[in-house]
Amino acid sequence: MAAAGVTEAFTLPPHLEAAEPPEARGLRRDDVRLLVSRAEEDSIVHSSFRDLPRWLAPGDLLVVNTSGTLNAALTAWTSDGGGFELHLSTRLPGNFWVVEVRRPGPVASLPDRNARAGTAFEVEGGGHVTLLAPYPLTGGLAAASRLWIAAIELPRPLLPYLERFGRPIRYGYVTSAWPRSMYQTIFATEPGSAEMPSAARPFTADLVTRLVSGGVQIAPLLLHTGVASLEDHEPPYEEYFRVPPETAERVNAARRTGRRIVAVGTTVVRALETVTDTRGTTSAGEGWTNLVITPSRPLRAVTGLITGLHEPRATHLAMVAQALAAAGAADPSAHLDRAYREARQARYLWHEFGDSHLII
Amino acid sequence: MNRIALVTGGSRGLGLVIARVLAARGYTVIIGGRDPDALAGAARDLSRHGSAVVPVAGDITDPAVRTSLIDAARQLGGLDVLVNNASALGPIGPMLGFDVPQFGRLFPVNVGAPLVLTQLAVPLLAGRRGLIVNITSDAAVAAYPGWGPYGATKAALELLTRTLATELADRGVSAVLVDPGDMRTRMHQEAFPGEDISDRPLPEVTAPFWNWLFDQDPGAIRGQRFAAQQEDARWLQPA
Repeated sequence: MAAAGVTEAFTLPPHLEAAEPPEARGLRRDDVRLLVSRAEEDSIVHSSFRDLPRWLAPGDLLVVNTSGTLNAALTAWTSDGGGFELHLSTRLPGNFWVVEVRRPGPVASLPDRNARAGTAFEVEGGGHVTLLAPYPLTGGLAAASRLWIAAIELPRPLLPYLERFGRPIRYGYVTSAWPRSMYQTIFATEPGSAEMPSAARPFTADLVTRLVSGGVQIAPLLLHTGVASLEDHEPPYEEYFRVPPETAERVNAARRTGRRIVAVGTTVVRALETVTDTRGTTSAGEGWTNLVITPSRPLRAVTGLITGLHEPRATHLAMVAQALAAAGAADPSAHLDRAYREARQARYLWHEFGDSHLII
Repeated sequence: MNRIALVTGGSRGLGLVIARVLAARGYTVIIGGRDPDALAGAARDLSRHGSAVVPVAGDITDPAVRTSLIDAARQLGGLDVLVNNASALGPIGPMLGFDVPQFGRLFPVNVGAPLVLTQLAVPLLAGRRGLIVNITSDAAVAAYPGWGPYGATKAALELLTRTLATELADRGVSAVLVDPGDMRTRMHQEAFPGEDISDRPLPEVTAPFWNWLFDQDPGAIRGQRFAAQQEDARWLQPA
């Protein structure tokens, strides 16, 4: 099946994990590298993100995620004095949240699976977080869970509270803490993501100006990301999204006129594909999506993708393979294998502060 | 096997008391409610019993909310008890002055939603000796001036429940009616605006009844109607 080779074949050496933002290495955001996969030609080119306009044509449509990153990590403790870190992942209807329970680790926090229903945490400033039920419910109530449906009671509204007491979620490969501005893309207008929708991180105002001047169109949608499942290789869970009618219209227009529809990030793929029917017509929509792109669910709307480099075995790789197929690759799996091999040999950097991959 | 219950209108009043009894008995409880703050408070309260609690926010007449409630049960593996408790009171007053279009809210909440939830829940209740509990009122059987429209919806619910009890017998699912009696709840206060209802007991007074009810073999009480506050506790020996 597509991507099977890639998903099982490699281990990611630590020196290819981006441990800090490019700015910390003296680079601009758009100075990161860009691996260009030209699917139909089956070619792989090494470029720079600053040269993105060169790879796109007038009329091509870039669809971006305007979700902003929350300070979603909170220090928490239980009444017996146990110290924890809680990651707010996904807001559910009624202002309940999916929360990940973590314990302090040597560099960053680690998942904790010992919590039980009814566990009550205190958080700073006199707030409370109560674990109600393991998430997802299909996991079974007896199974140890790291994700929980939780009731959150805070002394002030959520956003100001997180502004004051939260910090960006950080995993062990990022060796020190960075301010939230480092976790915000220039398209962010509405905070709500647990983790940065990082595919758009390399975009700068200058680059966007050059794209627009060159005739490339940009349309917004919203998808609030939940916590990644990097450590557990779990499938992505439901996430809140909103596709505005104007964006749906522009996607349909681009399809009618044979222009590329390039998703900036797997979050955009997920949202757009959720609202695109089997005939390829995209509608406006809003809600929670649990769509997972697999080899048996080819893409209907998206014909190109800008994304980071993904972990081995990450379900995102199946989506990347589908993007290659949608862009016209004869053998997406073989191309992806080759692209990732070249990226490793050329020492591309993985994760949210790393390099980029364009599939057209 | 993990036992699972669903209580609509579970965020306060009688519904919260029923949910508390179920949680204390070890049930995983799915509670529905419209007010997110009340629902969060109820969920925290119930989780103290150590059982999982699944809150589902929204109006019971919203098909998406009903689907979410049933999906939660399905994901948990099934359903043992469905309590249709959420009710709308509507205006209390002489029927000559009743704004008839208000039935457009009363019937969907008091009759439509319990029936739809039952339709969705039966596949989950079947095979687990499942029990459906529909909350009724003495206004369903007696003529209380001012209570006609509300009583009519509950009378409809009673007939549907008794019919369901017979129709569902061969699927191993039981349905019963419970009249909780007058209680000091928000809904009861809305029926008597401005009046002091502190002479009515708190809904907690019905807790012994619920404990008794959930001790029963559902097949043995199928189709029966109980009064949770009967003074001589006749529910202990239902006829």
